[in-house]
Amino acid sequence: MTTTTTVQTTKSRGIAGRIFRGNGFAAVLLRAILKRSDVKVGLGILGFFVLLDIISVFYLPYDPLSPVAISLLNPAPPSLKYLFGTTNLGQDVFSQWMYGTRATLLVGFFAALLTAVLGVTTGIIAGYIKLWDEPLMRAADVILTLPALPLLIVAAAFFKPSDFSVAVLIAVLSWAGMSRTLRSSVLSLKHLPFVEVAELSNVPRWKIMFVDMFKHTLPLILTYSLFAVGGAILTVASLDFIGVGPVTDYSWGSMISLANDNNALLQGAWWWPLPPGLSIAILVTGLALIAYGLEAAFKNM
Amino acid sequence: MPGNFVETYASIISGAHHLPYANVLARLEKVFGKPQPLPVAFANYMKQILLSFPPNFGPSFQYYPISAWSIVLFALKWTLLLLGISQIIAWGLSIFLGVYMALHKNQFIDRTLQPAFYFLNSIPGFWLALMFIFIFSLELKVLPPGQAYTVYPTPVSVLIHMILPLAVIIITSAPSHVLVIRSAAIDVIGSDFVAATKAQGLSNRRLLARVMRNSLIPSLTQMFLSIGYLIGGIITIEYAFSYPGMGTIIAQSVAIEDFPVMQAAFYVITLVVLLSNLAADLMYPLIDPRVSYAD
Repeated sequence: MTTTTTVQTTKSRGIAGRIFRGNGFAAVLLRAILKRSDVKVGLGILGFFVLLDIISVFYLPYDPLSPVAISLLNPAPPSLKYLFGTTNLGQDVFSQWMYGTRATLLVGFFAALLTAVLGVTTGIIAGYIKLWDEPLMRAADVILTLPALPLLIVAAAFFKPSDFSVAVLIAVLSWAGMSRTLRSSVLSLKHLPFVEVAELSNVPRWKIMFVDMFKHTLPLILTYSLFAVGGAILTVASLDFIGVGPVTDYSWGSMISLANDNNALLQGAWWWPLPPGLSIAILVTGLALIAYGLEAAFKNM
Repeated sequence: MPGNFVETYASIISGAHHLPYANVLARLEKVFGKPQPLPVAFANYMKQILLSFPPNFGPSFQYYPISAWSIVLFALKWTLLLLGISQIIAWGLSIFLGVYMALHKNQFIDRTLQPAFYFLNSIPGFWLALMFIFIFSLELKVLPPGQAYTVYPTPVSVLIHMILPLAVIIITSAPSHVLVIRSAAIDVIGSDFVAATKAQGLSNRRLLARVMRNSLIPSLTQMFLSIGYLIGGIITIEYAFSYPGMGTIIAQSVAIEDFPVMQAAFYVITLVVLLSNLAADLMYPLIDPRVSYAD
């Protein structure tokens, strides 16, 4: 294995070849994407749903909210005309499923982004500036002990959240784990020679913290954020199911919730809650596959 | 908290029973007390919760004279029953599966089981609950679709009603245990003492027992630390089965804005989570002699 790589290194030159063979973040990431089958499958799943979302912007078979089927008040089973059947109002489940991709992905990624922003800033500050270590980490301890979903349900009952505010709520309750991991990794990075050199040569503190430290913890941040996306999607779906989520966004979670509220299963309409739930499971699996794959790839960095 | 409940309730009651609003409001204010300035009300509220036992969250709005605390305690019993039984089974299964996967690391069985467990881990529990209700209760008609018992809580009836919720909780919570135990067991197998044990020529079975024992330590504390997360999952599953536990209580109280019950329920869940975290910390030195709080 090693001999072949050295042979190839001597053969191929150019920037692309060098990036691909290096041991930096971009190289490991690129190799993981191209060579690891779990990452490839995960990206395929994610890509499928992103594509579905993009298509749904331009084309939907039917209006997801208007009753299109003739037999109202009776969910129709899947047929060639209505691929996933219809709801009790005669709405097309396939169109709703396509349309629901958007809200689901949006809330998931937005919540994860906010979680990452909060977790990274607090984690790096706590690890780098001693004065802030204790207060930030004790705050993280409090957040970590709080049972997130019950608190979210109770909080959402007061706030009646939208897609945006539910993502903020989730981020506020889930930054702590990331913050703690980053802090410990910054603590060990802090005493490396390159940081000391930077400190001695008057590089501003914020630059060391949010450029150098950030660069060196990027693998951690990336894998953690991917897990956060999956977690956020499942959390929002649970909130929707209890009936306190942003149900009017017609995400997959609210599809299941509406199906349950309208006794879809008692009417035998299994085709209504089946696609959204299965899609959530597959999408979150895909994200987990990417995250675990990258984690394993970065471990050997 | 948005709005004044007494006014909301007064308007609901006066609308429903065609009574003059002012009369209803006066009666309700006699029951719940006149509105006080916010700091005074808050201090009073905290005093009632922290200094009295049982904590006084006030009466439930929905089941008026019954206190919110007793409603929540009744529900907590069912939730803890589900949590306890499901975690004992899930954890027991996970030990064997996790160690087995670690022993066959990167072989075919491990490589197929791993993504399978990621998938099971990603299934929304409440959705699986709905699907199980459809398959086993509505189509096959072998198990009841919900509730904890039919008329009286006889052991047989309780057990039969528990099968589906337990199955869903185990399927959705065991995978994370398996993955934790697997990685712990991989660490243990790579450690020096296993090599030493092998060199001593101990039988495979005793080696396995030692590996298992040592991989239990991180996973047991991990399980107690993840109780908060597990309760979150159980809440939605209970609601799907209308099981009379915390999940159904919370969902009901959220739907009709029964704030005392919501607050009491969250308070109790937080207490349970705090106690289980404490248990995890205290258990460390008991099961792992390397850890001690003595110094």
